[in-house]
Amino acid sequence: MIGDLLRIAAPDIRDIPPRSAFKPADETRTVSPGLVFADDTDLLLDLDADSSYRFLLTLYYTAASSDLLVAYLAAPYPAGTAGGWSIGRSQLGYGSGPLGGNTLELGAFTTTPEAETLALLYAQGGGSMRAVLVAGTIVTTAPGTLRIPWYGSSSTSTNTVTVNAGSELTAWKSG
Amino acid sequence: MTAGSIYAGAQITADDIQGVAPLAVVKQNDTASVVNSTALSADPELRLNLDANSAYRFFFTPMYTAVAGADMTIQFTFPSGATATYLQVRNGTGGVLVLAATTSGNAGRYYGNGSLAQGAIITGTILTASAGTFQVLSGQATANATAAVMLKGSELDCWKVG
Repeated sequence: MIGDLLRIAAPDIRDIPPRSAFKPADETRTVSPGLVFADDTDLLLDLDADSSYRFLLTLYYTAASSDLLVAYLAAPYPAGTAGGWSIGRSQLGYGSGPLGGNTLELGAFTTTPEAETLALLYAQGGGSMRAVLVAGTIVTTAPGTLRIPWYGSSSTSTNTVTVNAGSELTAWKSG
Repeated sequence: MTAGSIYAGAQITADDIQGVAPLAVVKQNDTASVVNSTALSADPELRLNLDANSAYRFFFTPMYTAVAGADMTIQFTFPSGATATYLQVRNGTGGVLVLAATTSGNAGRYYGNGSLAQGAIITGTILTASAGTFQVLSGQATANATAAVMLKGSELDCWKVG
């Protein structure tokens, strides 16, 4: 941290502003009934080891009113491997699954540190662009890339779910 | 360039340092809307100058008063050619909590409850093509004899992230 130094090094300056990844264009996938996750191609953020970050995710998506965007905040370790990251978060969105029906709800979530898939987001489409706002803290143990794997869930296999341009993942190093 | 792109041995330029801290403005005075009209006015304080060919994360936390049913409209103008995507967490028509996703310049209706101050959270991304001004506009959503008021303490921040 910059407050501990007599000499300022490049990494200390890099840590002052937020790190950010944003989507320059829409990404659309055909929905699937099973859990077929693939990382978002743009929302990837490299984080340092042994650090804490305040993060903010604004995810915009478009899906039919009965369809779901299912996404994770994912850390770099395989499931069950010791030493993963931990995430605590508050999430505001149109929920399904753990958030209930297609209503706007605010929930708080924490995760166990060893799980690879750390934080599950559910969001139900309304036919037009909607948003999920997630704010929280990530504590890392090893360097790695914060990823957002997602897929669209629907009983209609010809439907599509889109994560829209402008979605952004931002993290401020806080310790 | 932003400070996040600085590496050992690199020369630190003014352009790099611009990304270190956010652009920020905190409103120092209340601003009343035009009355009996839904015309929007540019806020005299809530404005920031953005660079060309840059990416910004912005955060706006308005505080306001408005007559219930007349409510307040909040809208933005961006530099020419910019693309913006943002969400609004606000009390909408009838005081119902809304999470709305929108793109460049689209307005939102912000519920009023008389003299009781209301708040909202608006955050998103701006990708600029040209340098210019990012500015807040506000006014009455339905014409009324009592002005809607953007209150002092409202804050607009922008972090340059790319």
